[in-house]
Amino acid sequence: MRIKKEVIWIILIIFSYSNLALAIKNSSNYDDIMSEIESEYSDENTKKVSDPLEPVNRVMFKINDKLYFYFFKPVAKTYTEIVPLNFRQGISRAFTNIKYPIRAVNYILEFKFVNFFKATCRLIINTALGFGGLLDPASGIKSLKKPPKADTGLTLGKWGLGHGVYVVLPVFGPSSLRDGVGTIGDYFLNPITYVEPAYASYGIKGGEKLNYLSLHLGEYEDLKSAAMDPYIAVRNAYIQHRDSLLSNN
Amino acid sequence: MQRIIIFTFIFFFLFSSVSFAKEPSDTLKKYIDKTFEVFKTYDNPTNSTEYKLEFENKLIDLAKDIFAFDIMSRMVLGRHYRELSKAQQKEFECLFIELLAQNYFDKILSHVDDIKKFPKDNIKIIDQTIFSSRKAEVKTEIKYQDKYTPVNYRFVFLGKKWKIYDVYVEGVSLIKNYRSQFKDMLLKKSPKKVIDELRAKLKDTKCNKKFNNGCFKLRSLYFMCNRGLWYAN
Repeated sequence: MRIKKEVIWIILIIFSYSNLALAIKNSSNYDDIMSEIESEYSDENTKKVSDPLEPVNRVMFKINDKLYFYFFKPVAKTYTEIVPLNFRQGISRAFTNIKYPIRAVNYILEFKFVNFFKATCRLIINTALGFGGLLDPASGIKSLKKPPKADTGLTLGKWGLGHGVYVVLPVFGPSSLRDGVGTIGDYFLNPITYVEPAYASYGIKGGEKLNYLSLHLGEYEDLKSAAMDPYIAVRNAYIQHRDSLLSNN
Repeated sequence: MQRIIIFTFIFFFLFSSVSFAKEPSDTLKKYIDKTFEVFKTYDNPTNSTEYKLEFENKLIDLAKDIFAFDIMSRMVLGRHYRELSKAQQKEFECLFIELLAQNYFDKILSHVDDIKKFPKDNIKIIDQTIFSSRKAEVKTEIKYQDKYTPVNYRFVFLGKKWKIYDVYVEGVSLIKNYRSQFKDMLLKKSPKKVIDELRAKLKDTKCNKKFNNGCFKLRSLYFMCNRGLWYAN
C-alpha cells in the first residue's frame, strides 16, 4: 500500500510540474501573440490624420449635431412616413445612375478601364431596362456587380495624395482637405449641377441628401451612443472608411 | 433596420461552444447556424423585461466564448494598458464588454422578430485569409434589402480555438475606432478617471468597483491565472 501511495505522489508531482512548464510555455506564447496583434494597431500601421483645426472642428461638429437632431432628422422622418421604402430605394438608385460621369471620369483617371466598362454597361442597362435607373437589373448579371466606389477624392488618393488636414464641413460633415477638393471635382462632374435654373439644381441635390438620410436614419445615433467621444469616433471612422475604399479598388 | 441586422450578425453570428474547429471560417459557419437556432428559442409574447435581461445575459455569455474580449480590451487601451493595475484591467474589461452589450445587444433584442425572419442565405462567407499560423481573417457579406455590407472578422488562434479579436464593418475596425478615442482621453486624463467616465456612461453595471476576477489569490500562482490558465480556456 505504501508503495502505491508513493507512486501516486510521484505521478502527482510530475503532473503538476508538467502543467507548470506548460503554463510557462503558454505565457511566453501569449506574449508573442499579444505583440503580434499589438503591431497591427501601432501608430505606423494606423494612418493618422492631422487635426490642427480640432477646436474649430469640434464646434462645427456640435452645430451639425444640433442641426441633425432639430432639423434634418425630423424632416427626414416625415419624408419616411410619406414615401414608402421601395420608392426611396429606387430614388437612391436613380441618383447613383445619374451621377455616372463622376464614376466614369474617375475610373479612367485611375486607369481602371474594366470598372469603367462595367459602369458604362450598368448605365445603359439600368437606364434602358430599369426605368431610368429606378431599378437595378444590371446587378442580376454576375459580372456586372457594382464595381468599387470612385470619386475625385479617391482618385487624388490613388495618385498618392494624403488626407492633409481633417475638416468638419458645415452640414456635409466629416471630410479632409483632399476629399474636400475632391468634392469640388465631383460637383463639376455631377450632371445635376448643370440643371437650369440654379435653384432647381440645388433643390434636386437637397432632395437627394434628404432621400439618402431617410435610408440611414439612426446610424449617427448608434455611433454616438456607443462612443466615448463621438467627435473622435466619427473622425476615425471617416478616415478608416476612406482608406479602406482606397486600398480596396 | 439594416443596422440592427448587422449588429446581430456582428456579435451573434458567433457564439456557442463549438471548439476544435480546424479553420476559422468553419468556426464562423457553425456559429451562424447556432445563432439562428438560439434566436429561434426566443419566446417573449408578453415582452417582459426580465426575460429580455435573461436572454441578453445568455447572449453575452455565449459571445464571450467566441470573442477574445480580454484581447480586445487590451488592444483598445494600447500601451496605456500597462499603466493600469491588475484590478483596473479586469474592471476595464468588464466595463468594455458592458459598453458593447448595452449599445448592441439591447437594440438587437428589440428586433428579434425581424431577426428570426432573416434568411440565412443572406449572410455569405466570401473569403478566408490565413495571415500566419495563429492569425486569420474571414470576410463575410451581409445582404439586407438591396444593400451589401462587408463585415470582416479577425481571428487569433489561442491554443485550442480560433477567437475573434476585431471586427471590420465597411472597412472600419471596431478596435481601432475605440483605440483612437481612448488614446485621446488617456492623453488628458488618468486611467482611473477614464474608467470612471466609462462607468458613468453605462446605465447600470454589474462590474464591481474592486473587480474580483475569481482567480487564485496566491501570489505565486497569479500569473498562471492571468496568462497560463486563461490560455487553457
